[in-house]
Amino acid sequence: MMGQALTIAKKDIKTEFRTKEMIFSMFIFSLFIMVAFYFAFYFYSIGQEKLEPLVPPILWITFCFAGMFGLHTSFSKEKDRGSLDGLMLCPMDRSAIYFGKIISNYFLILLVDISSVIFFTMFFSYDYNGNIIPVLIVVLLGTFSFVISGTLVSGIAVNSRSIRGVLIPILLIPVILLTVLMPSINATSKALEGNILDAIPELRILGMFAVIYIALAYLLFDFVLEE
Amino acid sequence: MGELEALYLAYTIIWAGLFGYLAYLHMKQMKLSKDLKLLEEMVKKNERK
Amino acid sequence: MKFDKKMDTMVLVLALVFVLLAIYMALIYTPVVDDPGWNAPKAQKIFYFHVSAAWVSFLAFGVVFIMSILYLAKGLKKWDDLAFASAEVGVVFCTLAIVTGPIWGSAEWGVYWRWEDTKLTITFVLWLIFVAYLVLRGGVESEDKSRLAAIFGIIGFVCVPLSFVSSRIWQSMHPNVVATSEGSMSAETGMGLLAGVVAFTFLYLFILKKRLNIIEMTSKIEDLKEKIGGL
Repeated sequence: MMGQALTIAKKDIKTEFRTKEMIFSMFIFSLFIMVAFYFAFYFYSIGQEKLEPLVPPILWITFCFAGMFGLHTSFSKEKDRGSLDGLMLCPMDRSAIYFGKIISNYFLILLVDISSVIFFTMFFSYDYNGNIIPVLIVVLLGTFSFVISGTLVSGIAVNSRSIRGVLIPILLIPVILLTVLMPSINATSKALEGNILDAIPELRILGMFAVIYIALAYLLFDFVLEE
Repeated sequence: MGELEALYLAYTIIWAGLFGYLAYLHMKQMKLSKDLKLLEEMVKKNERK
Repeated sequence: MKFDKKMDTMVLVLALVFVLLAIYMALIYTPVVDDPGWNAPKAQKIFYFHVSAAWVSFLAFGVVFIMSILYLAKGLKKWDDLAFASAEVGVVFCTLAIVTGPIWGSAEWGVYWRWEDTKLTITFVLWLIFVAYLVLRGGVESEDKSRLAAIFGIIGFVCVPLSFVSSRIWQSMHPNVVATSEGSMSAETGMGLLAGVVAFTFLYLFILKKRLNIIEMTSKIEDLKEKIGGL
């Protein structure tokens, strides 16, 4: 099954880089969010010190909304082209489609997230003080949990014709609010203080929930795609 | 908020909310059962024809 | 059919009896707390119905979860109807719990909301999931909606305890903030709470039955309209 999943992921990434519409729009969107945050705080003329506690929430709100934007495109593209029906006709396990989607979404969203982390220093003239590696470790794990729950939920939401765009945030935010976003933000703020080892409880929770969501998705994804 | 005001407010909201919802459901139920009777009669008439 | 009607009456009578009993117990029977640690001892009487409403909302979501599993496994429409009815009734009780909480909080703490309070936060997450579930049901037009709603019902129910686990860690980050302390309950308080919980559970059952009846009638009307379609 993993081989099939990889094939699907490869196909997704290949088609994505042909048009680059998802990754490009996600990237622009995340830039816009950060610019909006910058101007929201502009009049407070915040320096490095005051900015410190704001970094994790700004980063994760950016990741969250850019990621949901990407998830939305990822499934609705397939749905609108009817290529999802084609995929389902293939003689393979339905969960392979889900795992393939996870791999491709993870790859694309992670690309945007990492570049956002780097662009953040430029926009806010913020210095990570050499803690960028711990922050990236948290981003790696947090984005993984996000993509796993997000792919499952957006597979549900894409079936709505009238309110598809708002349905993903409405369904996804309550699910990830405390299970993904809060631990990630906490872990990021601990990582910024330089001690990634302090963040181990949060990272453990993120990993644990990722496993639970994978198991849940493995059980339920067949029903998502049922016609 | 004073404690007694809080108490009155909370109890009012609870019971008004619950019974408002129940009344709304009841009205809807009555209306639907009226509609249903009408429709059933129409179906019967249709079958007789 | 006849037995069904009798059960309905039975549940209604029990609900009414227990509601009256619970109001009596909450307002008169149970003592006012006389602990100097409490800022608003009289407002504490909100507690009996606040906790009962919260209990019913968790119960209702448990019902949604079980019905969702049954629906996915068996595909019978009645399980789906029951899940839908339970979600809607649950959101009403959950709203009541969430609204009365801050009212008590403003009297006791002087603030309406404390994000550090795990129970409050979890109930809020539960409320969000309930609302998302109902929005999903309203937003999907095709027949897939029962299946998709059932899937989301399961995901949502699983994520509530997960949220609880993670907010425990988050809470321990702020050890200086005091969470709500119900303290040890006296026997009278326990009895009052029990009466409230029983009353609200029967009320939930009654409202659930009514809501279910409405759903069934609606689909019957749809069927009949199709039958005489063209008229």
